[in-house]
Amino acid sequence: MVREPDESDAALIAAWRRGEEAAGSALVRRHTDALARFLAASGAGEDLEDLVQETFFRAFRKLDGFRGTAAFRTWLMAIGSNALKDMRRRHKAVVLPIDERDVPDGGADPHDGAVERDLLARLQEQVSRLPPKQRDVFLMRAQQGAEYDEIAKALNTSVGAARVHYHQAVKRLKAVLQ
Amino acid sequence: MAHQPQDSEARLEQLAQRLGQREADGIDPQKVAWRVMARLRQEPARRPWWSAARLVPLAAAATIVLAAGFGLVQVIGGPDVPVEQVLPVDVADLEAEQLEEVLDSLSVETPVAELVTVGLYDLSENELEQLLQSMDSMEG
Repeated sequence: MVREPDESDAALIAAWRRGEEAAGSALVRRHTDALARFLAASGAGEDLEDLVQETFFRAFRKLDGFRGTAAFRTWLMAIGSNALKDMRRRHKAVVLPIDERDVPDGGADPHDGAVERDLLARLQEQVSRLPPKQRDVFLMRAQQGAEYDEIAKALNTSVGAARVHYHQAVKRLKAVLQ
Repeated sequence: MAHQPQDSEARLEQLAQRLGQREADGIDPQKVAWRVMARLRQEPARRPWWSAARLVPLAAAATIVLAAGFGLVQVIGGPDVPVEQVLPVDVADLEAEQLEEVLDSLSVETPVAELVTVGLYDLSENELEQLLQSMDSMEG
């Protein structure tokens, strides 16, 4: 069965719980890009695709326990962050140095592009070196646009603590811009 | 020109939104969906400890305790009280504590009884309801 593209996450989750596999596929397709960006920015490196799959696998396994207090996407990021941590523990993966990264293009102007690429590369490096909680909060908010209360629920922390993590992360990362 | 504090934070957010985009562009969501669904079919979710299947041994133990209690009351000449007064028929209405009281009133002090009593005490309302349903279906 083909799912409607405008169906809400809650509707798709309900359909999945009723046994509709197509609803699960629709959820995966909808959130793959955001999850992949989050994990790549967190330092997933060449394990990115495996991590994305692992995160969705874990999420569907846990979906019966998902109460919908946090947004599905933010909840997914929290699971992805744990999957990344587990993978690093298993592989003892080393964060790739900047020059080995595939850095996004900065813009049309070659000079601006070079500056942007350099900035992004340094930012990527620093983000992946943040303490995990700071990194998660920073990316959930700055990259994914999540609100503090949503982040707090997904990470099982308080709104105040999420704010503190964010501002600590920003403080560290501002050095990249100077 | 140097950025003002707010500007630098906004700039940081602007850059953060682009982090990981190229890596993400290399991933095919359709392929991910197919692989995730295939893996979920191959490795179905493990049931939690309180699921119906795992409650069966607990329900069986509870039933044995109840049956042993009735038996003892009858055999050792306890007060000649109709069974329905010892244990109300509609046990599904009982709370965990009430059920525990019922079990205690049977005066069956065996390790199994203690184990089950502790287990029942820890059960949530939903889990207790599943247990009682399992018991009802075994009795029915």
